[in-house]
Amino acid sequence: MFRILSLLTLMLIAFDANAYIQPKSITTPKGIKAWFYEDKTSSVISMSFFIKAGGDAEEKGHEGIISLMTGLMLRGAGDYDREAFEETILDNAIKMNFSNSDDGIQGELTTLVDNKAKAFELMSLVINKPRFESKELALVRDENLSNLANYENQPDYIGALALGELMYPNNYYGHNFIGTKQSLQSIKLPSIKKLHAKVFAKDGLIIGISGNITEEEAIKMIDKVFGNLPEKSGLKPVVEIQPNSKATTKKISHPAPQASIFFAQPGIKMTDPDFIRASVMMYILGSGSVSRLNDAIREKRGLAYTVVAKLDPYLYSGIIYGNCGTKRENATESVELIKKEWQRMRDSGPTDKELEDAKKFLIGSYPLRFISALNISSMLVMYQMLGKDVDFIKKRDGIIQSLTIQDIKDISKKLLKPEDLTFVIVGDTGQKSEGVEGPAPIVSAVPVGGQGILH
Amino acid sequence: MKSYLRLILSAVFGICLSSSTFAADFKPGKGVFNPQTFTLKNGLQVIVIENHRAPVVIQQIWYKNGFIDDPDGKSGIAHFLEHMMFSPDFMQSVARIGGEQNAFTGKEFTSYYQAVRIEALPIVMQMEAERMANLSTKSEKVETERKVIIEERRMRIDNSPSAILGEAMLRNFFWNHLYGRPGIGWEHEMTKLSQQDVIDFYKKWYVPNNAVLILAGDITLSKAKELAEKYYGKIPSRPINTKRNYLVEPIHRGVAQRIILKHELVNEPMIDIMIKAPSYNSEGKEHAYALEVATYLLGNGPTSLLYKKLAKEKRLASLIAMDYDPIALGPSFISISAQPAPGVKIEDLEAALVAQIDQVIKNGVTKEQVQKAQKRMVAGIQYVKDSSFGGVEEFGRALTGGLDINHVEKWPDQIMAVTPLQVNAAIKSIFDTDEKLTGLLLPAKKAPTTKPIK
Repeated sequence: MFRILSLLTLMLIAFDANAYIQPKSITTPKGIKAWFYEDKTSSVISMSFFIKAGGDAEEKGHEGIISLMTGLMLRGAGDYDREAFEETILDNAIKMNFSNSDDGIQGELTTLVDNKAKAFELMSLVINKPRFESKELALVRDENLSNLANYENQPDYIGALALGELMYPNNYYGHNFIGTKQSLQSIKLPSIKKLHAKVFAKDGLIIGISGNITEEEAIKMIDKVFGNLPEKSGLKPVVEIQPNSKATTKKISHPAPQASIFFAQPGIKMTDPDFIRASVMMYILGSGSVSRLNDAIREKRGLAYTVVAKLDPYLYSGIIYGNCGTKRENATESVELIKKEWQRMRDSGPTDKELEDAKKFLIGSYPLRFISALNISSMLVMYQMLGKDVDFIKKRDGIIQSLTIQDIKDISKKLLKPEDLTFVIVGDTGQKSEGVEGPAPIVSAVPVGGQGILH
Repeated sequence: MKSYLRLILSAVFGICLSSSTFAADFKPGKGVFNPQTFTLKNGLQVIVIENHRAPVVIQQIWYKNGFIDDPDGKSGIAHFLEHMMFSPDFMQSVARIGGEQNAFTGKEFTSYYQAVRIEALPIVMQMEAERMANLSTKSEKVETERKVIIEERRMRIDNSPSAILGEAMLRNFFWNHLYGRPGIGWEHEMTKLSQQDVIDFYKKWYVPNNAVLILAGDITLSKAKELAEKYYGKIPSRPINTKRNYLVEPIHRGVAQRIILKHELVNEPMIDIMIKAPSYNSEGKEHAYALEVATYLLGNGPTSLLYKKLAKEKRLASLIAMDYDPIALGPSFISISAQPAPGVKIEDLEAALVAQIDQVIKNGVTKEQVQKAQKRMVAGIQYVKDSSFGGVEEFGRALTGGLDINHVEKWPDQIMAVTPLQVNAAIKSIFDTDEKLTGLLLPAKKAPTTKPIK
């Protein structure tokens, strides 16, 4: 092992920041900004984008409307009815995908260079001229209802919803964007059309484009897809919100033999200046493959197959979020260990060696984030959401390398609040709940998405 | 929708949750990945896929043994050994060089990978060679890691009604063949797996002549030769008995089976029908490529025939998919899974599904349908090749599944060469049978007890 280490030290010096991609910030004639990276070695073009749709986008009683809307957008646009649209996509090997989170909608378009004209034409129709046919709404609704029925009794779904509700009571970050049976059944076509008109605007849009495409062409394609959108979103501006910091432990009875433990405390938002320091600290505590939580719970005691804790930052808020699955009888022990590790990191921070190891992983693994056109375009969107400038990729290793043990100790003290940790335990442990007793966990949030570690 | 059954059988149990997936689509013409290969004197085959887009490389070693090689009474040992191959030191050392790592146990393979910067390749090759030659296990680690795999079983199987049903279906689908055994193991046998069991299994299988090493990314053939020789070349080969006498499934003599799970955690019923089908290696293998085309056009995605008829037109199903994986040393199967649309009875969906398949058997599929499917299946190879690590999965699965490099390189040509006549013959020969296993996942009458504890 010693030989390996000495080799490593030499290797780190040899790393070359110029090995990374250097994206460029571009602005189209129609006033749309994007990050762009041309890669002539690729035969693929990938465009990723994010569009804000948080806050009041999903009104009370309309939970799940965004996923119905994006589902419908991919089922017919312009002159293409659903059948023609799907057939054309497949015949041209085009990939299109939407997913959504509390802050908005992520979209992806990937195409072979040969089929780029068709790909961007279809994407433009999807964004600007979705058909929103009622017979298709009925089918998408059925699919989402079936999916919901499949999730509904799963410990992971129940736990994540309950945790969201506890961290963000009565707030959109705590609402269930998958939807409920009632909400999915009550949503009508006019509401979906109205929402589409409100959400798709230039001001809430973030774009990354990469692969084998020139700058001029990228500009043309971006304007073709997004250039005719209205300037301003019709959604109300979202206000920043502090998550609930009152510690609670909520136990939910469930017949599964393995208890699912979810936990969280207030965290930081995406653009927080402490983001990098906090990510490095969380790598050591809970998000790395060799983290302290993993060591204490899995490696030393064999209590769980997975245990993880990471930053879950949003645009206007943020939590530190974790989960762990362990047999019912061991749930209490695991919770105590999580609290203990939280306290230990808060009190004394990481060791010199832990920080060095974290830096080596985070710097050493960085090129693995840029191995395909789609990887690259989604990274370009993520860095814009994090509020970074276009030179960030080049500077990122240097920033991590310069962190001192004091930096990490400071952020541990500032951020970690073991006394504020809220726990949800799904799986009957037969013990009494310590904190407030909540109503049945039905309508609340799923804290998914977010960027836990530095990519 | 991925069939839950397929998820369990071809399922691979990793040490972490994350895994990279490679789309399995190719383009016709002159080969696909154009790999280079050589074999060391000790029998270790090395495959090199050059891709110089980023300064990174992946090393993935594939051992040609998996959970069907678990000795009787020791189910789960292949997967347990996979866990035991990771000491905390090993994990730390790979992380310290910025490496991503994971491992998988399948029915006929066990594989380990590290993705690193090209400069770090010698270090991970040295480490992987070291644990091929010399695994040291500590008895405390055996004790804690055994608890970890049992938690893994709880998470993957015991907590999930569809996985419980899938486990029961597989066990009944294969009367004799060990494909019917759960790869993660039966809990009562897992609790008895010992350090000696781990060592015995390791010594039996982990030798260079039973492995394939795949390197993909920013590497050249000459560098790969130099490094492979340096680190793996000195590991002695050892004769192993690779002749598996347990690869025989008896004929089923027309027996149709039905497996039902009523579970309080199920809200909406599901149906999954398993039909026996050949692999590329088993009896009836001449139908394998034609069946790939058939299952694609019948049950892959929203434009497939079954989805069109049962979901879009008749609105009986909200989800429907067909799945077929012909890579296996022994027999394979096709699975058809479906979920009724809200308000539709499962019996009605089942009847319509069976009638639809009967109609396809009777009338066949058209030339246009076949050609469309073929074109789509092979399109998009560039997506796989666009990743620095494209091809690793394809070659690894082929070479541990009794196939060779040419299988992957010629797959698009083979698919394009299938005729409509062959597709219809394959459909008749495989689907027209009573020997089906139908699995039903149904809600229990009792309401689920997911309420807060008072």
